[in-house]
Amino acid sequence: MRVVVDLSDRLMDTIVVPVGGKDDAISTSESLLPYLDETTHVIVVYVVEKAGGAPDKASVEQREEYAEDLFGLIERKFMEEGRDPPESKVLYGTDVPEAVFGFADEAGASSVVFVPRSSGLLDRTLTGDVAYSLITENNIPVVVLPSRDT
Amino acid sequence: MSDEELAKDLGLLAALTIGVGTMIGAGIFVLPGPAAEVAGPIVALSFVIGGGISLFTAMSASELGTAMPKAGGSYYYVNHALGPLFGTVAGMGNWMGLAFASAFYALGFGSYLDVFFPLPRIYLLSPGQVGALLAGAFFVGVNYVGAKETGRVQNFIVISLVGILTVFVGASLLEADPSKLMDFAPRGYDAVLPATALIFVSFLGFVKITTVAEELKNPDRNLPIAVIGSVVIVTVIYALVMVTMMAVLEWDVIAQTDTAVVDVARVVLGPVGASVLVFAGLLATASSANASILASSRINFAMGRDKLVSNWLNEIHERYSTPHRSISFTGFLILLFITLGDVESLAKAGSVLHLIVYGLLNVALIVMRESNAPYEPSYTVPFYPIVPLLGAVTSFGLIAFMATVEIALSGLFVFGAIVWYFVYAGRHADKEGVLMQMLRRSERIPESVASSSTANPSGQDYRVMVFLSKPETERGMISLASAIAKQRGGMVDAVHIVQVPDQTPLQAGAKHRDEIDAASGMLLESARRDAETFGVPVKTSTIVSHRLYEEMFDAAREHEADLAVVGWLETAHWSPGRAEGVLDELTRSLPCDFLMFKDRGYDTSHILVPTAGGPDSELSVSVAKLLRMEHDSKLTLLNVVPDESLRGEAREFLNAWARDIGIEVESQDVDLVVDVGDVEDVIQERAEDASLLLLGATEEGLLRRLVTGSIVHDVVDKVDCSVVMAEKKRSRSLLAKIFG
Repeated sequence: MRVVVDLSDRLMDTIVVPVGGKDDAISTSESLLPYLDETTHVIVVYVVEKAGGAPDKASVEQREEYAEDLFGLIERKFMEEGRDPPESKVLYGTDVPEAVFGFADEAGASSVVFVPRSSGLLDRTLTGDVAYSLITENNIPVVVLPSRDT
Repeated sequence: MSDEELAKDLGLLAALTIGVGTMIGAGIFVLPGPAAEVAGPIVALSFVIGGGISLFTAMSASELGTAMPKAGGSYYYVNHALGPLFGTVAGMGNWMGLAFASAFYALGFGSYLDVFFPLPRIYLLSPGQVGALLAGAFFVGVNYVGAKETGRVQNFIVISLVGILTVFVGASLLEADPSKLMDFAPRGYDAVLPATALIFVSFLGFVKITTVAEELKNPDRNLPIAVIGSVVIVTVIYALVMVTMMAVLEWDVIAQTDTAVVDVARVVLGPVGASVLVFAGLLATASSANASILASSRINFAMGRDKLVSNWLNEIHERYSTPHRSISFTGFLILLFITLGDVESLAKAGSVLHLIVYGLLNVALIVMRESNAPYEPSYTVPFYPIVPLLGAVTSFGLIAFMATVEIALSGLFVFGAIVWYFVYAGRHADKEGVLMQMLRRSERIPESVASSSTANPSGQDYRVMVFLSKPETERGMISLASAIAKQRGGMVDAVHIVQVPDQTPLQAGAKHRDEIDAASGMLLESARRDAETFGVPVKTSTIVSHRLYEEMFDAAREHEADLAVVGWLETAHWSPGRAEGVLDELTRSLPCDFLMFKDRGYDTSHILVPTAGGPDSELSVSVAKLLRMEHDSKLTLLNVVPDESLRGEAREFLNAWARDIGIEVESQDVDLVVDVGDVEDVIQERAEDASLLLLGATEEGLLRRLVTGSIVHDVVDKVDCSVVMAEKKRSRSLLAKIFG
């Protein structure tokens, strides 16, 4: 006997959408919007990466302000499409995927949705391949959306 | 773990290592040679004096840091207390000081690198400079990319350094020959202070802890321990190392070398020991340079937030999440300074600029203590005001022992900062120093900002704050505020104060942030829309607090509001015992003009202003004037006299007074009315035709009388129209402040 589960319904129930920068926020909104149902509960998150016991690479307050800017950009994109602005949340953690999935779990999210950023080998070496970690270290479904500019 | 715990992850050890790690690089590994040259073995005393000067400032920085754990540290305190002019000087001084110091550390690194791998000489650049440029570029690159590992490496480096130096001192003691110290002050005692000026760069670092205060765990405890503790630790290490080194090798031998520690180590620990010390020198200078670059970007950010530098500088990198422009720009300066400078002049230029900042920081503490601005440090300096006074005097005083060139160079930077203030920062800065507020408040006569057009010539900063509570009253209050702001060419600052019960800790309140945010968001969004229909700029924010009224006053003060619009205070919320005490204290000085709005619909078609003249009615009349300009309202000025014989005199007075204030008395829709009878009855009768009743405060203080129930509520309750009560900004007189 086979049990067929229609994943598409449940996947877009409550989604957690991580964004990392201004360009990323805009391209993520553009990619995401066409896939949203009327009822999809969207929570956009930005992770303030912590050094975990040493001074950070940038001020926490500075990155919190940055996060607000990103959320504002996304909000505008959503409103342009006639949708209510998504919920947004600043997360803190030493490891980006860990923070995202930890929160997604807490929020009872049905999936984590993101748009991978194209990055060269150098960047991946320097910053770690976050996209790869997101699809390999997950505890809930991950939806990878195509970037609209490609 | 809560967000709070995750965001604040620097423990005591990490904080100590920032301080110790930054400082230890310079003093021990670079300066023994030049310092011995200036003073001989007595330079140990110079280090102790340098430590003493630093200790005063460390105590002051700790107090300020626990009161304001904000990114930016010393810059932030100076700007907050002394205003944007001194803020610009402190911020630029600190920034340039760090760039000079970083160049100095990089040069130290270069000379140690040269010991390991002999470096080439390129054109005019010495091998040490070549190494320094490589190192500088590397540190800047690491910070540009923002490798989070650097921080953790730092802890390891500092602990190893302290260990290596302990072994070094121990071994040196065994080899020490006290007779070499016989000539303890070969250049005389006069050389001690100039030597202190030279080595002071060894102490730049303890204040850096305050630049990351926002990230500290339990800053109330850890900040003072780390700041003061790191000064004490390095002072002891410096003094011991200096004395023992010069007991091993004669001071005039040490004076000949840039890497004296290595030469001494070769004697006491052999070639292996020497290599370990070279390695330690590399680590120490690297960690100093790295921490300085990191700290400078925090200062840029804090200055950008106060609009003293363009936010362009503080843009976050799309991918690395680092303030990349700030780091590149600072990096460019560091490389420039390495190319142009030598070890000694870089060290001193860095010190002079830091000393200016330290001096200002001590002054800032005194201003904060003397003002009545909100200020609650959990650590307080002992022997106030002696400690901050000594801190300021010794910091500024030590500058006198620098060479003229360095003083002139630093003077040039200070001048540059002042020029920057006048061409850029002063026009953009949106914060006013506590000092300025203090000076203004001590004037006996309160200025009425709303009534005089000269009080705020630019109009740019005229800020009307609106304290929203309920959605029902939002539109009326915003309309009132926007109309005034529009006429004044200012802005509306809408604040939603969410009061949580005392039993709920604010932390827990913050957990319900999402719910609060949602409710607040809707309220503030409609506030924004309503304000925008008037075409005035609007800013919105939410404050979660236990204390509704105190928070209102604090916020008005902090946001530097010129006028606050509040809803009708409901006295029922107050338990009499508490209310009186708190409000008594609060209302003795109003931070700005207040309008209290009893909203029965925002209708300004006919405004009634009862007045008996005098400065207290001026606010209500000028508000009426502004509303009239915005809405073409009909205006009635009413004066009530007890009997007929006074009518003529009253009319004359009213006419003259209205003209003075700038009401066009000839206009068709302005009525000046003098009535005979009981004040309340007349007002009530006249209010029947009016759509808005504007009442001025009297001497006693309106808010207080209202809350304590002594005001006649009848008038407000008996009339059918909306009512605005106006009360002017008021300050306790200077005498009352001192003797009250």
